[in-house]
Amino acid sequence: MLIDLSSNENPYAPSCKVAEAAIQGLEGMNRYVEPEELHMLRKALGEYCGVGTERILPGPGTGYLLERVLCGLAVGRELVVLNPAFLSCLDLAARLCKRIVRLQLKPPSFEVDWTLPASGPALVILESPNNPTGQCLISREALKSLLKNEDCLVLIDEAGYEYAGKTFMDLIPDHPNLALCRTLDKAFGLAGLRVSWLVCGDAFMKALHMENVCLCRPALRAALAALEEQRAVLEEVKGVIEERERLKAALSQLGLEVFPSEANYLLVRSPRPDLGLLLRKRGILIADLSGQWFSGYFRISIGRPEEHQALATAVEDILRTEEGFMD
Amino acid sequence: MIKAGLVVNPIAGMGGNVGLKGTDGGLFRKAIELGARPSSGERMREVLSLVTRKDLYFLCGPGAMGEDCLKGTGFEFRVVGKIGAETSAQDTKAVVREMLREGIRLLIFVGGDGTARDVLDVVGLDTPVIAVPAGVKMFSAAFAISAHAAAEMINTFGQAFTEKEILDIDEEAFRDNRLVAKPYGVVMVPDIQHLLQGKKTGSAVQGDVVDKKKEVARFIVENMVEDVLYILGPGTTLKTVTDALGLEKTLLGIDAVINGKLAGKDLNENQLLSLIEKFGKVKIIVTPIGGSGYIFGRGSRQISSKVLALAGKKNVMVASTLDKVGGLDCLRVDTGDYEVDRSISGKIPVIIGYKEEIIMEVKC
Repeated sequence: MLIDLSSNENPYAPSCKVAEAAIQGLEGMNRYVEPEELHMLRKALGEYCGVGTERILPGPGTGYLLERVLCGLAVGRELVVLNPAFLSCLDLAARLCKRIVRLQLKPPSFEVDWTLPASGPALVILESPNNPTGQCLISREALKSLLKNEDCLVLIDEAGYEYAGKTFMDLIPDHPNLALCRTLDKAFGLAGLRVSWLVCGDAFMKALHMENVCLCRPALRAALAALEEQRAVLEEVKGVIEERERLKAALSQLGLEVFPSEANYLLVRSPRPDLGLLLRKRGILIADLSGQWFSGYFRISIGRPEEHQALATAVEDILRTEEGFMD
Repeated sequence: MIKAGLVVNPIAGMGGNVGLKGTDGGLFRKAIELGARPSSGERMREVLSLVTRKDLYFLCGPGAMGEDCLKGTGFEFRVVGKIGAETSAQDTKAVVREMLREGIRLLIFVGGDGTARDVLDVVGLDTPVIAVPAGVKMFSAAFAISAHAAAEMINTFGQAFTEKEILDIDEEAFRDNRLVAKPYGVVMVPDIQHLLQGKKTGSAVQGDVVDKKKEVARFIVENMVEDVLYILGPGTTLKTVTDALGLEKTLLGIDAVINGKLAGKDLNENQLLSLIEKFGKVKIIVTPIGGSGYIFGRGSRQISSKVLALAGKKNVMVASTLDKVGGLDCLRVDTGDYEVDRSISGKIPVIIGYKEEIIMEVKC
């Protein structure tokens, strides 16, 4: 069986209670979700984030919510993203935005010059922690400076918030041009149900139809059940972080360059640019970034200890025994 | 069964072990005198040992040019062409030409940059290749990075292909410890990148490179301004611009376009200077060399420091695809005139799609 460490998924399924809630959500599947049910979820998500219900816009996955933002706010704006970018909405952005500008991330520092290249109204979409580096690349000062320009909207994907423990949530009430995106895909382990939400500053709230929520009932029920278990989830996150640091040490010892990470994945540089292919032949999938970024860089999701053991064994075997043409 | 060609350059790589830095121009005899042994056949056998698909029927070169590697592997094959005791570039070309006549879907060859150029001369962009490196100079991006990568390309090739550059390395200069490289052309190679994408990659990979180049070209053409002279550097990315205009491009030369019509083909420095003086308003569009990122000073010396000084940085446009430019630290310029190089340095947007750019730094 393939060990998939390529998609930043949580290797652990949510509890039985969450699964039962999803199953209960199948009852009455011939009926649309009631506004009251949606309100309950928005309220629970608002409480989890410490903001008012009115700022919460849930949706089936971050990709969907980014498309909502693009449709509502991107026309005539320049979209600024980092490269590499893992956004499924760039095709739509190319149709709606004035232009798309990527800022190249360069190892090993990954420093970003946040002086925007945009000449007019802009929409900046970035992740914190960043994907694939796992590092928080924008400081509070740099963000505040960006937000001073009212023509510049900033959307920060905080999908890895539970792992990094850092957020810009407190800036939301005073910065109308800021929105954050959170998800239950990662730490809460609901990737297959796709529950994400936006926390909107005033400008985002005005442009998006906050009452227009698209979510199916099993996902909604599972989300409510998962949020009730947040203490257990945060405990599990601690385990993932410990495992991440163990894997980091193991891979470094084997000869890979492993970058510091605050997320549920590690960025590594391999002396073998074909490491991804060689691991795939051994039944392990990691994300190869060379298609749009530097050759020899890979992103490895944090999995289970036994998966990491298999990975380390395979990496050791490859680096010791495989011959490359370009050695 | 899928017909695939297999060609080995038996003398590729022989110069390296004995310090000759190449076997171009008959130097392989000297290599043999110095004790060099053929190694390219061994490399091809290594790749073949990793091939698992069973639907291949090989057409191969005679003896050391392929037949010897396939014997005993279990693959079905037939020999095409004839060779003498010593093989030459002409033999490689003749054998490949024969294979194309027989309708091969893919050509696997082992050799160095020289072999790659010989193959490209015959196959062009029509037949995809898998280039297994065994030469002394293997700077071309077309080469597979390992036996596994080459075998994976053979095992999985289907519809997804991508363009890769073949370079022309000056062997005389290389022996003198100088790397003088210019783009020679482009071949199609199977795209194995898609095998490594997880479930939720979104637009992590830009899709088909050829389509992306067309997007770049469409954006450039739609934004062309009347009465402005557009000087187009070498390469297939900029060929798509002339294709979009219905014009013919000198693939490795510099052409100029104004108001949708050719103003000059395969231009030299003086011709470029005259055209700029004649038309006044100018834009220079170039694409970086894969791997090194040079936009000026390598491969397009006609766009000299004088030409750049006359045009100015604000009139320099760079176009590429993300798979090429995204793997670069920076773009480079080395015209020989430091002041001009410095004036080009700094941040520059590179057009990578329709209305899509990446900001890169130019260094000198």
